[in-house]
Amino acid sequence: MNHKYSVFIIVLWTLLFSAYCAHAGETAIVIKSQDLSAYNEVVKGFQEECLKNNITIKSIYDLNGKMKLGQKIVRKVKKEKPDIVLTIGVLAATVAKDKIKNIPIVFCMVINHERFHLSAPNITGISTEIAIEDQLKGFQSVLGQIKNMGVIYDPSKTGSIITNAENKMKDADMNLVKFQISSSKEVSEAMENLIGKIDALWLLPDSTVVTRESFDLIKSTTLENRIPLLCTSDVFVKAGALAAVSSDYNYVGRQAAGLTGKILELPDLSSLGIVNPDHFKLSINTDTAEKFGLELKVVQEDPKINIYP
Amino acid sequence: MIKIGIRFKFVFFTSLLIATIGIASSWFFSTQTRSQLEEELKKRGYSLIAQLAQDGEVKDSMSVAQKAFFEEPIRRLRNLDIEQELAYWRVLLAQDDVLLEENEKWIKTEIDKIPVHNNIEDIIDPVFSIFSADNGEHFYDFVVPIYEKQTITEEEFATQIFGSEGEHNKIGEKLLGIVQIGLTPERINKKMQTILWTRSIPLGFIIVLVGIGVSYFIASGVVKPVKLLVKITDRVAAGDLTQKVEISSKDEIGLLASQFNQMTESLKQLIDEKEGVMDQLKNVNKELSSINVELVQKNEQLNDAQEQLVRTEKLAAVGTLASGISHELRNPLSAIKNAVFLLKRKLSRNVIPDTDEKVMQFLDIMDKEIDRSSKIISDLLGFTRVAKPTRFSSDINKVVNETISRVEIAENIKLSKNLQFDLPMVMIDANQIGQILINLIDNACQAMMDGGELKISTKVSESFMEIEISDSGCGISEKEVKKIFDPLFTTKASGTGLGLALCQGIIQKHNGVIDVRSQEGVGTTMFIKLPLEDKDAGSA
Repeated sequence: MNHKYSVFIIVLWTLLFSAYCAHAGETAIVIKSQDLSAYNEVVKGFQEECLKNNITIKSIYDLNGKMKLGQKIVRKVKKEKPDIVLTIGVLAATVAKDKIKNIPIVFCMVINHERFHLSAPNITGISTEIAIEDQLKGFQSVLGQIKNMGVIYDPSKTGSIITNAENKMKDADMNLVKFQISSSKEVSEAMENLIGKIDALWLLPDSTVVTRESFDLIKSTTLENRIPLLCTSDVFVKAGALAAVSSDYNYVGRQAAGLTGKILELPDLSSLGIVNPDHFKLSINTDTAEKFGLELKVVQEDPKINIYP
Repeated sequence: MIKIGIRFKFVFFTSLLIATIGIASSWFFSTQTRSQLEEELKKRGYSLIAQLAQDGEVKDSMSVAQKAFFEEPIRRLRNLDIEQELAYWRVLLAQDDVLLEENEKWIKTEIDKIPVHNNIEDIIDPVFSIFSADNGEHFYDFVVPIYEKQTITEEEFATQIFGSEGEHNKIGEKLLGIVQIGLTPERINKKMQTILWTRSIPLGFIIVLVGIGVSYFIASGVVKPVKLLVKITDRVAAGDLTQKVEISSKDEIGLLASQFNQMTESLKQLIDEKEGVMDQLKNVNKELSSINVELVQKNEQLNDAQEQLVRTEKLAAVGTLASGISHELRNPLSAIKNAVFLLKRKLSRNVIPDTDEKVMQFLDIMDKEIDRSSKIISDLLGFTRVAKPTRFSSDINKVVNETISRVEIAENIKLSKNLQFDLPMVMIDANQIGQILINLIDNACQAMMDGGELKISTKVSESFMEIEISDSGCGISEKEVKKIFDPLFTTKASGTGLGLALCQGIIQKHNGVIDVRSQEGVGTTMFIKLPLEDKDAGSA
């Protein structure tokens, strides 16, 4: 009798534990490349949304920009066996891509993700680039119709963006004036060439074009020649560019949590591909706008716009 | 004491100074050169180890810990070592394992004697140190950490795009180990030796020699004119003021020479002036001496003249007085004499009875005294009225003999005559001269009351006829001898003091001289000098 009773209890506990596990939902681990406020904002949005979706975040790891930490963290991640891994930043994404094969991965905040070939059956991602149409919409809300949009780019880094943008701009009745460079030393020459031909300069997140030194040159040159500088990061607006259309990092986290939910619902390990951020924000530097003599009606109409300084 | 010349001092001290400066300069430049060469060696060391550190093959070799893979990097490193200063090299893995360590065969120190760096994780940047082996070899030791780049630069770019807060560590670098190389400063030592023996010492030697030569030349240039100056100064000091220093340089020596010449010239002028003044003074002195002699003579003459004047005045006064008295006394005396004569005649004729015999005696006394008084009066009148001598050519010896015959000489007086034979005739008033001789012989006899010798001599001396009358009597005192020709001066109790004054008056009228030489207790000599040719004699 007692023996039967014991077996019953064990079976019951097993059933209860299984039910608990099913009820407890999925678990996730976050790996961020380094400690940036933008990354932390993503983490925050992800946490908030996970809470809603009953997804438990087991651990948040920070690679501190060190590749060698990646192996240790990957070992820990494998031990913890999460249902999904969220990587924030290119370092975390590449480490996870190389070392984690059997756990779904969602990456975000990877600039020009195409260059890193972050495609695998277990990898889903959110790109950092806002859709060209949305960017144009945002810039036009500030400047009105732009006839000639200049851009400097390194084909090896942002060539695909330019290809995509050309078609979209044609549709928007806008002329894209391009200047190719292969070294940041050519930025000065590019600026000299573009001045007089363009109504605004579109600054892509291209590491050949944008360096600390070249940004100062671009900013001062555009200001001197009254050419609005339009960017893809509010960091540049804070530094003196006129406007930027960029991701809302908190929403990127939330979007990543949403993708996580969807992935976990899938029966097999599979990818949802790479999607654009579904929320973006417009940032404007009012000092710069004042120098250009712009009337910023859009600022009054949309309180969500980030205003600098 | 050894005299050290300016030339030697100048050359010695200048050479010493040049040698000191040369040695100091050589030391300074050697130190600088060595320091520069050492810096260059350090730069080469850093450059070599940087090349090694950046060699991808080195990183690969270290990451797979394959010693054999280092052959090519080391070959390249040795090729880069153009100066052949690379002495040893060592590769140490992060696990403190020595992967590779080798040394060139020509160094004496074995590689295992060269210390291995511990705690390589603490080495972040290239480290330089100097290692001294026990055998005295020195090595410039360079160590550099080798990292494997693990970071993705895009993550750095992300920092730029998304913004950063605060500083971040170096991203994704893995320490593989360290690479250590050693360079020997032997080449520097050899180069320094070469510089020392081929440049510094010969150059220093040449500098010192040139310095000595130049200083000798300069010193000679200074000393030569100085020596010339000294030589000229000696001559000038010896009295040759015509010497001139022939230095035409425009420097201080030339200025000194010019000043010296000016000084010599001024000195010569002063001495010439002094000699001129001395000559003038001598002349003046001579003149003064002659004037003095003249003055003395004049003074004597003046004194004589004064004495003469006084005497003359006295004589004049005495003459006037005597003339007056004589004139007034002569007549009464004549009357008295006549009366005495008459009384004596009456008494002798017994005109007057009972006359005492003594009366006759008294009258004789009166008569004698009247005669004596008359004689005095006559002498006085004769003195005041000395007649102008009537001169005739006379034989003086004859005058002397006649005078001696007229004079009564006591027997106790010995008469010695020394009359020169063949004396020339002399223009004199024989009576007056005879009167003088009588007077003088009387005086001599009166001086020899106790006897003695009376010497009378005549002779011709130059243009004068001389007569000497000397006695061996009592003599006259020096005080009195000056006054014997003064009128009314006498040493005799019964003398009138007119005799010698009268004699002098007569001799002077003969343009002659009467003088006396006397010594008390010895005797007296009277001199009479009469001119042989008298210009006044013609008028007689």
